Amino acid sequence: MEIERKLKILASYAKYDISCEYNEFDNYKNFDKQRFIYYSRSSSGKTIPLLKVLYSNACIYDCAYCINRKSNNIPRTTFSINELVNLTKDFYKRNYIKGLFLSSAIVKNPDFTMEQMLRVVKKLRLEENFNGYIHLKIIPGASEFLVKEAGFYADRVSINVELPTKHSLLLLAPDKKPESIQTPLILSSKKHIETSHEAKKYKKIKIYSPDGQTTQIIVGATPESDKSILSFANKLYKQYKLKRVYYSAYNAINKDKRLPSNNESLTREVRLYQADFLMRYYNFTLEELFEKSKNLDPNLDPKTNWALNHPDFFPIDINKATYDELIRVPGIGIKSAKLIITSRKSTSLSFESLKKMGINLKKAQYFITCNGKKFNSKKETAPLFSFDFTKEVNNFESFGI
Amino acid sequence: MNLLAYDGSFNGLLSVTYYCLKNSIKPDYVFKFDNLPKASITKINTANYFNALKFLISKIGKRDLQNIYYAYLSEIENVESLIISYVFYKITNTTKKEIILTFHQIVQIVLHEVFYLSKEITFSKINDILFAKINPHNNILILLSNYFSEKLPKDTWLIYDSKRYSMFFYNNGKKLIFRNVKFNLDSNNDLIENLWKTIIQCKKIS
Repeated sequence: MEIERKLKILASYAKYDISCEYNEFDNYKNFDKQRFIYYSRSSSGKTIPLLKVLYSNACIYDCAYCINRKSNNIPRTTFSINELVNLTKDFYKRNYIKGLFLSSAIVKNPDFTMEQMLRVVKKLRLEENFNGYIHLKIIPGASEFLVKEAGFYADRVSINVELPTKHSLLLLAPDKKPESIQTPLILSSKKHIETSHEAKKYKKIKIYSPDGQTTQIIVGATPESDKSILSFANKLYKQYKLKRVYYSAYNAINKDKRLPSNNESLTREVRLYQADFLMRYYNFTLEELFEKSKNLDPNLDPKTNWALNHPDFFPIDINKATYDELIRVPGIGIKSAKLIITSRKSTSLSFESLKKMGINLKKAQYFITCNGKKFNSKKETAPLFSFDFTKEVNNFESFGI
Repeated sequence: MNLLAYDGSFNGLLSVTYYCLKNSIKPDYVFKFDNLPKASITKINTANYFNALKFLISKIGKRDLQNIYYAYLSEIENVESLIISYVFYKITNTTKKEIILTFHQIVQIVLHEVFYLSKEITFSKINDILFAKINPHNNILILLSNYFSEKLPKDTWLIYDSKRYSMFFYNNGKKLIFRNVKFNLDSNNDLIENLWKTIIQCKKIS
């Protein structure tokens, strides 16, 4: 069956695109399993299984890191618009998926590819009344009017910046000009911000890409340090108001002199995500995370590493510390910190109560005190049967021994 | 012992609750008409259900009434007594932690199953009708059907509860429920289902 062959090829080659991935930390070991079902997390916090597929893998570009580059000898195919629409509709109606994640290699030229992808999305929305979630990739170099239209039919758009520096991009993806990525990125983020503001005033205004915009950076294909990658990501968050930056550990699928021969470790990817979260939600600055080295420690998570390098900051008293101080304690996250703040209003907190609240004392115990008292680990490891020898002796004496 | 019985419908449950509230009775056990033991039992009919509904909405509000419906769908043995006790405590504003906790736990279990099945059930297509078979612990066929009426508003589909032999049929906005239906449908010829199975099983290419 032709459609089956196409789906197998285009779903398999879509797995290297990882924007909007759900639960990377837990699932990174299952990297190769069922990659065509993609668990995206929406802004409301729900996880949505999406059919992740390419419109085509017949690429005209020759990016060194990409499986679909034109110099690779792989089976090539392209969906027709009707095929893709019917497939999505049928899978959606059978409740296999709740949406579509549509990406593509560049066929003919960026505008042609973007136009075809847009036609798929428009047909789904306008003709088939498809109410599911749509994540649409914007093709680098696509015209302004196509980019502007895309966000009004998709729930989320994303454009992959791929590499953190202009030099790396020119080296590994010579066909992609930095401007061809930057222009649609700026345009879509501007559109999203504009329409979100307008929607607050006028209810009928449709928000452009209501679930925000994301991007992906390949880690380990070029020698950039973690600091420069995170500094780049920081810029994307602050200037372009991106919802998420996804880090993808380099996968050595192509043999190329410009590329390392081995895969990048997944631990590095995890550490980058951790540092990314620390910067976005825990008020850590880039300089704080990279005080001693330009790369993150693979053996320690960045928060613990910072805590160990700042013994002057600890221990902090759980009953007195501010919210900002609490979230700096390893083992205490945002939820726990908020819980501590609300709970201590009514009662003074002890280690016992922290345990009951579900706070991870395994890590936090070394960095906190409760009313000036440190955590007593001896209490925790008290022997099952404790003997009071003086009592024992007295008992024996009473028996006349 | 206060033993009551009703017809097993939600309207019946409302009538029982209303009866208990009006007469200040806390039943020890509430039976259904199809499962009556040989003992002196007060049978309550559903004639009064509209008054009961109005009364309960005014006293506990629509939200709690909805929760009562969810608890009723759990089909736990004698859940009716718990529901009536819950309503008593709600109206008198006295807190009996155990009853309130148990009641909400039951509601959560029902809602969780609806949420889980709304994600997990898959439809097969037979003669242009989408068909799904479920075997839920709680009687959540109607709740599930509400979810799918929103998701597939212009299609024809049916969900069959094989545990209770009941079926929900939806055809472009028209909704029908059938009880005591027994049938077995074979979906081997569904091309999309077979395609999905092949894709799920296929190994990575590179």
